[in-house]
Amino acid sequence: MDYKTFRDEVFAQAKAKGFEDYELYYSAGNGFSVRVFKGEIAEYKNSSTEGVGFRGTYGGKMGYSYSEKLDTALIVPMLANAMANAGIIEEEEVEKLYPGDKEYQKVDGYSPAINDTEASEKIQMALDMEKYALSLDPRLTMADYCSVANQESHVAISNSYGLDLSQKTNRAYAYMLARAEEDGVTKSGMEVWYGKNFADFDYKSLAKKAVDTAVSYLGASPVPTGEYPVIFDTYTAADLFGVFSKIFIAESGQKGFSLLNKDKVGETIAAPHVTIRDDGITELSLENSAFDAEGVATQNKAVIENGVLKTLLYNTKSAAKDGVESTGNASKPSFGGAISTSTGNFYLVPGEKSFEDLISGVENGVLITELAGLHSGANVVSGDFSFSADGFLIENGKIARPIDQITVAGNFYELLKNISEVGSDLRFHYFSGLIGMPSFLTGGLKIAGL
Amino acid sequence: MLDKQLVYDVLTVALSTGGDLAEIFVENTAKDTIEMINGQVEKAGWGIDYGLGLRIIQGTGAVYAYTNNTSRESLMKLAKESAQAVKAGTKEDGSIKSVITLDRRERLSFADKVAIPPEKVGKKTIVEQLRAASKASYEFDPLVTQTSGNYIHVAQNMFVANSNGVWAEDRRVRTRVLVQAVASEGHEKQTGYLAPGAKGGYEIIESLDMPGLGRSTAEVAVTMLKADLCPGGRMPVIIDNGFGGVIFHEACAHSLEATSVAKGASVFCGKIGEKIAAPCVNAIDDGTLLGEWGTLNIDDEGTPTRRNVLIENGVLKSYLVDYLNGLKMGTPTTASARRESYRFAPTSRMTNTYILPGADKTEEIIADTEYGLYAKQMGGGSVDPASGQFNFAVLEAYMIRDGKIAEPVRGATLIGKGHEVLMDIDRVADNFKAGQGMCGSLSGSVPTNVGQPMIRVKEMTVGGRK
Repeated sequence: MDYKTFRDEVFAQAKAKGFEDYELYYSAGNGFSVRVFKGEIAEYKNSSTEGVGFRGTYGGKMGYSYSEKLDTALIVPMLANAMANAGIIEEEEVEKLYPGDKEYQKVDGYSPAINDTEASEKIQMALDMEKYALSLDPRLTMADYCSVANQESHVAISNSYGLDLSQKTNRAYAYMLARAEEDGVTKSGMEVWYGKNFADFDYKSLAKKAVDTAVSYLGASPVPTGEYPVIFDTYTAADLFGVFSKIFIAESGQKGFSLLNKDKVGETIAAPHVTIRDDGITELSLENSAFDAEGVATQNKAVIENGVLKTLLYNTKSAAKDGVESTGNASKPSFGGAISTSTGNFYLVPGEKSFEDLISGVENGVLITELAGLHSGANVVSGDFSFSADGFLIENGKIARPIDQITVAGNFYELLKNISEVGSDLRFHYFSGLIGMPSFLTGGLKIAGL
Repeated sequence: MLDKQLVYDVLTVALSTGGDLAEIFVENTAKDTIEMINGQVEKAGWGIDYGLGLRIIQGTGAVYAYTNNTSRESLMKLAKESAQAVKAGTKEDGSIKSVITLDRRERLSFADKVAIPPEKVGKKTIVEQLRAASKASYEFDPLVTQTSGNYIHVAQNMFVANSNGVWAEDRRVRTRVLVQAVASEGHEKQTGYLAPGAKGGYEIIESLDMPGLGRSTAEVAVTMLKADLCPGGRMPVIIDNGFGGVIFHEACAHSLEATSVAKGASVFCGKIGEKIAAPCVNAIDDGTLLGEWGTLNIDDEGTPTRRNVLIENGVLKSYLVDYLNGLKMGTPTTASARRESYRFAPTSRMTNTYILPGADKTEEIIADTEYGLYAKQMGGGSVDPASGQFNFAVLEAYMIRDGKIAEPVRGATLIGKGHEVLMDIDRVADNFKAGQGMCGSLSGSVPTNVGQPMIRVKEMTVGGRK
């Protein structure tokens, strides 16, 4: 059934049931993806989905419910469950609906050009990408997960205060995992392309990067256990900051799940050349948003500026608790989930030196290019981490040989202070949150290997 | 859940361009949640997940489409578009499957038993149970500074039918609580975590000792808070029962899934009948165990689940196979097809995956270990099935010195290659226990049980900060 008709019916019934205020969050999406394997289509996916999340104040507390079925028969159980859920909320800070801002930044996140590419062309791109990858090196055994995809999403928020916002975005992407084998040992290299127009997609470049990475790991072995200067490349830097970006969420600190809180604002918590920004809208990223999940206008702000903590990230509830304004960082895990907080376009502002220059400045160190066990190996509360890692040994400013089967361990808070150089090669990673990272050099990390 | 004529018509259109098999999966799932932090309820949710997935298999490829609009008009359009995606005429004789059999086999209809439906007791009762765990954590030690408690109840009504005559439905009901305690001193914080769950309703929670869960998580957090950093390097590792079974789940069983095996991306390809583990290792994947977290009456392709012996006395006996990957491998399904929801095409996954108990006594295993790591409670991990390389976090760990459990150590991770570790298991105890988890892979996140008795691995790489 039509969303607007459904919404009007929900609002009428919510009012009749005695909800003090109420909101409907609508989300719809269309997706396409094709994955090829050994010259044939292995999987072809098409989807079209929609769903609504309801929240409303009942007895002074916020109650939630959701449905993927836009069926008026479900409005009664939705409202009844939202009332029951409101009835058990005990938290003192009250969650409130947002009436809206006067102005919102302009975003043009929808690229009609993505739709100009036919399914058959996308299938051909995937086939070409696989074929080209396999032609590049005899040690390549397969191009796994060789996929081309696009997706569009539509979000709308309306509430009883007259808030009425909507936003449509879309994206195209492609990826593959090259697998190479030598002496019975398999090594893999992943590469992703993300864009707003398939005309910009260079399948050869993607395939070559994935293959080069896989092949470069062949013959890897551990290094002796010890402390090394470490360079994280843009990928692993994004993995690491993706895990620990949670510490900048104000709610984490308020609940004691982060060592940072409003009293730390103004303190030096990182090296002086470290500036981290969180922007709602930036030219550096392809995923921009004018409003957050509560309908608050997004902002562009420094989180850390030259090592000094400038702000934490807030939604309206956590902001009220700290006596500040929301930073427009409210999020929902999905349309049905409760309001929480997340990073926007979160990035480490790049420095001057290229990735190659960072390497040439290291006498004896380790370049980390793959991390595994990101969630199990991290204690976000204390900042301690210990990850399984692969990469390269650096000797006299040059890459000497590949490394595998090591762990890299340290503490994120210490690492922020120990970052000695930030590279210029910023890249946004859209699959590990929206994290933009250049490579960087840090000292004081423990590597366990032989 | 769908009209028989509509199912027939959708499958017919889906096969109109030369597909070999068409399948419909529908679900209507109610999810109920409570989130308590520091003894206070902060979030509560309820909702309906609803949708349909249509799969067309041709050769060894598949077209998958899903939607939550199940009107006749929408489904016929979906079937038509999906059929167009099937490359027509690739069959040698150009034939189109014109006969669709529904009900060729017995109609299967199952439903999990629920002794006490949670809606009968109400959410307020469940809140008090979560609060009892939180209270016990705080009372255990003043170093406990935060707690969290989550309740999840999911009732999935699913239906699957295909053009080969499968017509099956199941009602799957699961209940789980997640209890966490954080102990802190200065800047140091450590976490204890337990998350028991099973098939059924409120009776699952009633059977739990909630204050006991609160105390246990607090004890781990406090012990680890006082612990020194774990030393890194190669050493013998003893992994205890229960969630310790995650090592087998990650390091071995993922590489036995047909998802990896069928395309030659597993270290265990072509190894059926060969010795892949030490002789003391016996392992199974059993979807039939009554009431267990990973149990299913039927898999997500409608095949009744069974007990699959994976490893017998160190010899590889079976992979975990779904229909499509089975076609590629020339092997029948082992009833291992699973998917998180209608949004995912099914693929081979685990259910309850266990290393079976051996003859050793736990005291003897520890006494016979001069120096090493005792991993009492494991955290999560991941694996690359192609190389077998895995990693795990250890939540609660102790050093073993001179055959005795010595000081606790924190921040340990275990890394290695699954096929090497399997060969290096040299002791298997008799104290089997299972633990619950959510396993993420190609077809989404599904509930699985891991389980094992205490085992010892001769030598492993331990990652630590010291």
